[in-house]
Amino acid sequence: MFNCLPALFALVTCLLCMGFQSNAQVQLFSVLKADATYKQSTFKAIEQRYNDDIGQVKGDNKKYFKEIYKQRFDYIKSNFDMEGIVTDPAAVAYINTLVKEILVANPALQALNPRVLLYRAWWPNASSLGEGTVLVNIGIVNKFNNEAQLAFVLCHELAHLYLNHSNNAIDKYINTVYSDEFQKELKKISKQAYEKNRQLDKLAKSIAFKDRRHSREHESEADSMAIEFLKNTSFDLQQSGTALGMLDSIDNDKFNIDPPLERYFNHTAHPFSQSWLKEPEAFFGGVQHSEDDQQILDSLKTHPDCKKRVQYVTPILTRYYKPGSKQFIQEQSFREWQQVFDREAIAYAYESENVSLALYYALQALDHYPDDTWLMAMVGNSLNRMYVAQKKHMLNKIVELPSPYREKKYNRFLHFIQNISLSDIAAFSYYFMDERKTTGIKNETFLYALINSKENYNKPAEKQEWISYYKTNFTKQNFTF
Amino acid sequence: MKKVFLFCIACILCLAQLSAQEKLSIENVKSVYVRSSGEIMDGEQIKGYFSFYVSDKVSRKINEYTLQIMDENLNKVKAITFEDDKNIQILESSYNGNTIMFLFYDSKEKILEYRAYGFDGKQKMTYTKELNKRSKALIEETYGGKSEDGQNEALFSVGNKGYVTSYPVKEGKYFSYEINFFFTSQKKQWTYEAAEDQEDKFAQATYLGATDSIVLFEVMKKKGIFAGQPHSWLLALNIHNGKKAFEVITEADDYKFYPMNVSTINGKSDFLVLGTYFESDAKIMKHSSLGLASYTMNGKGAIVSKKFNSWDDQIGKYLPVNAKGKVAEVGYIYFHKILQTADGKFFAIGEGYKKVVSALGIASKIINNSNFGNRNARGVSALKLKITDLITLQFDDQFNVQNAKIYDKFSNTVEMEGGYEGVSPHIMALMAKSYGAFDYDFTLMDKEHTKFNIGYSDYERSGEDKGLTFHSISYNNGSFTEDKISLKSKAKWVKVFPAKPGFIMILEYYKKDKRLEYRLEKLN
Repeated sequence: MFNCLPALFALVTCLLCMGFQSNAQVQLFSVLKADATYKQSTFKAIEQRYNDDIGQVKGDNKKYFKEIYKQRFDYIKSNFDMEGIVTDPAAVAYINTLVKEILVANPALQALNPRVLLYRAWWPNASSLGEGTVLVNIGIVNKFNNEAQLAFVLCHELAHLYLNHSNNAIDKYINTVYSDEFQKELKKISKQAYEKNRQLDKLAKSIAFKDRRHSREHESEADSMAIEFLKNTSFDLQQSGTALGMLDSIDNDKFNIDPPLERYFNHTAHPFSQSWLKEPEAFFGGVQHSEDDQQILDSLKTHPDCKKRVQYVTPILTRYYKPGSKQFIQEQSFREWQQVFDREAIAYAYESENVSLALYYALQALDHYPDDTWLMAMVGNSLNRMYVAQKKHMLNKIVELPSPYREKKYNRFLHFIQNISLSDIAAFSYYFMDERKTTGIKNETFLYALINSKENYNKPAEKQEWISYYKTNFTKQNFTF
Repeated sequence: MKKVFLFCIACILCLAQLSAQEKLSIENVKSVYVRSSGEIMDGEQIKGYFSFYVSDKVSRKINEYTLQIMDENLNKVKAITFEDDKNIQILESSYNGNTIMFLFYDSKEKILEYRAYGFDGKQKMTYTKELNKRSKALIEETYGGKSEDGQNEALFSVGNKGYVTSYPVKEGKYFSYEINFFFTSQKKQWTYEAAEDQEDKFAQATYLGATDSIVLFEVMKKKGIFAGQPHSWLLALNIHNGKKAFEVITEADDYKFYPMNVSTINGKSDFLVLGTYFESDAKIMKHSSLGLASYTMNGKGAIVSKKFNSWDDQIGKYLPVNAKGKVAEVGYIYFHKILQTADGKFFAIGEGYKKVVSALGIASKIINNSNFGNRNARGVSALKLKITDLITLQFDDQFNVQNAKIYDKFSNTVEMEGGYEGVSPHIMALMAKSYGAFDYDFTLMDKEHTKFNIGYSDYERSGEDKGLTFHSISYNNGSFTEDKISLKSKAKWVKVFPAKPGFIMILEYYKKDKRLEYRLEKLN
């Protein structure tokens, strides 16, 4: 699953499509600390590298190389602008410990001077951007069972960097599509009066199929190289195979359950209605792929099948078997950071205007951590934000619409959101927070959600009472009312 | 042709506009033209949307088209690609749970074509109607005039049985119509050609609804296109074979009745016809109605019972209305819709109108009077139509008035052409309806008929939400709620379209970015 940016263009387009254009809310709900100095120095180094890359571009196609480098830089910059990069000193120190273990054992990698950054994104992925930056999503860190598996992912991304896969892919792409031969072909097609688009589609497919085939080859190469790097460390090499084996199911939710909505949102004063769970019939038979479609989709896969990847590395792993190697170097820290990241992914979804996902994850996680007052607060805050948005008829700017392409549990949850009314949202938040207030009032974020739930449910006296409580009991106040 | 909303701005997704120095790329050589987009209806409910675009040019006469089908949440569920004449366009679309039927129109070849597609995206059936020159002109002139957003005019799904269609035809001097029924389960179809036994020179059919065994139409007939008053008939055709089950005039000795809707009665072959009624000697283009009526009819076209609610009696108890149907301050009521919900209740949705003096018209008269040299300069009428508040009437299952409510809104006016001073306000209202000048936008009902939403626009001239606003009145489980959406936006323009039950689709165009943004929003 870890991505290596074989075709940056696709990634950039993809990210633009994900609606990350919003201004992130100030990190009020992050469970991590912010370190402005680290952020500034890291970004400065990335910017310096970008300027160096731009300065070194030569040749006829330098304009196009510059364009792609700019897209790559803008993508990284947008992650900084969105407060997507983890700057918490302790979290940075933790990931750097693992990176150091790998770099010290592999001087060839050390020479590349890589920057491994933790990215607050919830989806399980890691990517090597080609200019020295490796992004490791917190959504992948908390899916693995041990540090050795995470170390394999780090080695895999560093292997892409070492093998210069991203830059080679950019070279290949530009030198293909801006070659005289290709331009001649395009010119010929552009002058055609008829069947122009068919010819273009054929041409585009031929490049895409070739590009994706190379991409799959690069993945296999990076797997092999990663094992070479990992075997020099103290980590258990066998975990590489396990990590690869997990990729088929890594997109499953961390807490893989339907949120128990009836348990959370059933109150005697506002009883749960089964009609809220109703899903409409699939329109026009739903989404079906023909055999031809499936063949095209298979040819466009960027990564080889996980089973094949495991099969491919197993003999190497057996050959390199080293008794006494470790699954952890800091087990307790790993476990603790996983718990922190479970929450941080929710905070980032919330800040990224994906409130439906934040609420969904918060409800799932609450089932696992039932006494966690921060999670309770995020349920309340998400509902409160949905209430305010719905009142202005802007709910669908912060919640996703159901789609046959989505994960089934999440899609069921989105149908639930479609079925509830403005007053239901207010009531859910009010009763949910009120029932938990004894446990939660020491948590400032909880109190913020509690007070807003009173406002939305039209309980001004209760709201005032809790504002007074907040002002009396919290000397350093992050929220204003 | 208002039914299909054209995204002119989005027409050219990609166009080769390159300077000499720039190298070519696949993206800037490729051109895709969106021809039209619209709703896919299942009865009165929106089930999805389609986008119809030219995906390639195949030859001088032939294009490759892609028909992108989206569900009610705008997810792409299927793309159908086919080659056809370069002039075709889609007028309407309907879904019946098994297939989607599209009504294609080729103005150059003068062809109407109905095509049904199955879940696999393959064409299941097609029916082609070649139009003569006169019928073609008639369709182009009249199509789009009868329906509102979120409603079809020519193509309707009839449960899972099939689809019924109706379109006007002109044979010689006769203005007539043709009705077709396409069966879903079998490759069978019937056609009813009204011109075959038509006596009046003018006849126009409007689909009202269906029972298990018949499809019903209101047919307006006149001796000639410009001759006399129209007369209303109720036509029923047997669903299974297209034979006429009955055709009865709705003008009896007591009153003239003008049907607007048909409601079936659960477990019975009888059905209800709802509409406005007039004095038996009234001229409906000139005189005001007496109120609202409901006729219970049987499968043979016989009236089983009648129920009248007059302005001055039954409705007058709930509204300050005089015998002519003029409501104080509001004026007369133009009824946009009458419907029945599953709980048996009936609802009528109307909008007020009255004739008022036009300052612009008077100024125009003064200018024209001094304009001796130009006899053709007609200017603006000294009287115009003022469109006032929205009104809902609620009836029980016996069609007794239960409630009436006036929804205040800012009034707007419709200027008329000079010379229209003498026409009745009712004719002005019919003209205003054809101009799309009323503020009422649409009514959407769910398939189970348990809830509905009425949508209307209001241009507020003062207050916090000054500017264009959209209002909805929602009926759910026996109670009404109101909602208002301010359409203030940084976008160049904002338009509201009907969507799945309880939702609307907001379309915003950002001129600077050449970006068209649409999203579904739930009504409160």
